[in-house]
Amino acid sequence: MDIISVNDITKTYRQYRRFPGLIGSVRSLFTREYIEETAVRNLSFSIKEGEAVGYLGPNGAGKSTMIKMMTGILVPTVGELRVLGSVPHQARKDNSRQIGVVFGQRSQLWWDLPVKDSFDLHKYIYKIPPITFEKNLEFCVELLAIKDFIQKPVRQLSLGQRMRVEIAMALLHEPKILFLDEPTIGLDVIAKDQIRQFLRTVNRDKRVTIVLTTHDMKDIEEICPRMIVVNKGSVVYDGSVVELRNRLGNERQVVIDFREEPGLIDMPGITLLQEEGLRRTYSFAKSDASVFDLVSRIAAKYPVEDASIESADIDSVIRRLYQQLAEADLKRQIG
Amino acid sequence: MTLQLFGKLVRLLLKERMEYRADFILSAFAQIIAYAGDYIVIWLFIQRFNTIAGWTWPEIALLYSIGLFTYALGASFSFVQMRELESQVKQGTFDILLIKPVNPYLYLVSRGFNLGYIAHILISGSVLIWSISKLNMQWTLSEYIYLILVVVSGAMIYAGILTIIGAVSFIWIRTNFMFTLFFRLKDFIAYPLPIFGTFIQLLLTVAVPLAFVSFYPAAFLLSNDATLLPQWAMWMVPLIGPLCYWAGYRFWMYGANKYQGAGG
Repeated sequence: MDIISVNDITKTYRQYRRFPGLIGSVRSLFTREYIEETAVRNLSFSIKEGEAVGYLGPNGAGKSTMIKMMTGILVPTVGELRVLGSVPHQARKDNSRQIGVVFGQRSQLWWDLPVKDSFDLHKYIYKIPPITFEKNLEFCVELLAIKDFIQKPVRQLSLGQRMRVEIAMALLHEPKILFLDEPTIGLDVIAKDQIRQFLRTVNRDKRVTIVLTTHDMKDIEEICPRMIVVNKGSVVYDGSVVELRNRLGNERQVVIDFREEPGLIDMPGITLLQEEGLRRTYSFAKSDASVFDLVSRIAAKYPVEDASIESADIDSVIRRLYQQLAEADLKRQIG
Repeated sequence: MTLQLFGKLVRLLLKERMEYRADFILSAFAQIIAYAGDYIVIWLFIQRFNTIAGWTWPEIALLYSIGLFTYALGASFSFVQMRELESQVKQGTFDILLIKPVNPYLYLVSRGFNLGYIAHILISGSVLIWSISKLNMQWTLSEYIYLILVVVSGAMIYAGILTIIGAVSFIWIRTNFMFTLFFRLKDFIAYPLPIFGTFIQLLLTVAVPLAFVSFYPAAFLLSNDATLLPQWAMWMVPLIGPLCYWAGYRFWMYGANKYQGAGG
C-alpha cells in the first residue's frame, strides 16, 4: 500500500516586490507586483509503507518545499497529494499525530530547559499514553545513548547530542512516517554514524517509513535503499542506489605521478581527465581490461613514480549526475 | 489547545525565566521605574494646570492605569509573539507550529506568553486601586463588574490589533513600521479624548478603536463627558474587545492560510 502518493504536484511561490524604507513599505501595500517562481514542477512518485527513501538534489531543487507539502505545512498549487490516505494540509492535525518531522536546522526543543521538559510537553501535546511514552523513551534513550544529558538544558548540548534528542522526540508518538530534512548537517563523523545506525534500526525493526533529504551521500547509502533525485523541481532519478552507481559509476579514476614528462599516452580505454604538472588523472572504463592491467602496461612503457586507483564513490556518481543535468540545461538554453 | 496545556506551558515558561532570575527581576524593576516616570510626568503636568479637559489627577491616574493594565494583559498574549512572527516566517521556524496537532494561533500566543508584563501589572494595578479609593466613589456591584468586563475587553482590543499587525507578516513580511504606528497611537490614550481634535477622536473610535480600551470606560465610570458616545452606549463598550479579537484571529488564520498557499 502506498503510504505517500504524489501525483503531478506543482508548487509555485509568488514573490511580491518590496520597496525599502517606510514609504516603500506603504508602497508595497498598494503595488502588488510579483514574480512567480516554480519550486516543484509536475512531480510524481509514491512511497510504500516501510520504505526508506533518500530525497536529494542540488540546492534549490525544491526538496524542502516537497517535504513541507508532505507534512502539511504548505499546500500544493496544482496536483494531488496523499499521505496516509488523506490530504496533508486538510487533515493537518490528524496527520501530524502520525508523522514525525525533524528539521536539521530548526530546533523544536526548549533551549533553556532540560531535554526531559520538551519530551514531557511533547507527550502532552500528542496525547501519548504513559505506557507507550515510557516504552518509546526507553528505546530512544538506549539506542541513541542520550541518557547522560536528558536532564541537561538543551543549550549545553553539542550539535550532535541535540540532533539525537530531536530525532528521539520525533519518534515518541510512534509516527508511521518520519520526515527528516538534512538531519546530519554539520555533524561530525561519529555523530553521523550514530544517527544513521539508529535510523536504520527504526526503519528495519520498527517499520517506520523514512523520507530524508540530505547532501551527504553516505546517509543515503547507509539508510536508504531507494533514492529520488530531483532537479529544478522535477524527478531525474528514482530507483536504487546500486542501480544508479552501475549506470553512472562504471568508471574508475587512476591518478598517476610520473617521474618525468611522459608525453602523450596512447592507450585504448583511457581518457585524460586532468593534468597538474607530473600528476595525471585518467578515467578507465571498467568493462575493458582490468585497471591493474592497464596501470601495469603504462608503468612498463612510461616512467611511473606512483599510481592510485580511486573507485567512483557515491559522491562522484551524484556529482556526475548533477553535471549531466547542468550540461543538458545548458544545451536546452542554447538550442 | 486546552487551559491545561496553557497551564503546562506557563509552568515551563516560568522555569525558563528562573534560569535567568536576576535578569528577570532587574528588567521588571526597570519597567516599574520607567512607568513610574510616566505617571510622574502626567502628575507634574496636572500640578501646573490642575485638570486636563476637566479630569483631575486621580481621574487621569484611573484612565492611564486601565490603559496600562489592559495593555499588559493583552500584550502578554500578543506583542512579542506577533513582532517575532516576521522573523519566524523568514527563518522558517514558523513551520514548526504547523507540524503540531494544535491550533497554530493558540499555540503561538500561549507558547510565547510573556511573563515580563508582571511589572506593568504591578504598577498599574496599584495605581488603579489607589485612584479608585482616592476618588471615593459609591460603586455598586455593577460598576465593579463593568470594570472587570472593560479590562478583559481592553486586553482583547490590544491583542486583536497586535494580532492583525502580526498577520501582515504572512503577506507583506515587513511589519516594523506598523508596530511603530501602533505605539504612537497608543500614546494618545494616556489623555482624555476631548483634548484632541475630531479627526483623532474619530480615528481612535472607529479606525483603531483604542479609545474603547480606557477612555470610554473611564468616562462612563466617572460620569465624565464621553464626547462621541452617549450614556446608553456604556454597556456596549465591553463588546468591542471580543469583536476586535475575533477579527484579529480570523485575519491571522487567513494570513496563515495564505502562507501555506491554500485558497489563493
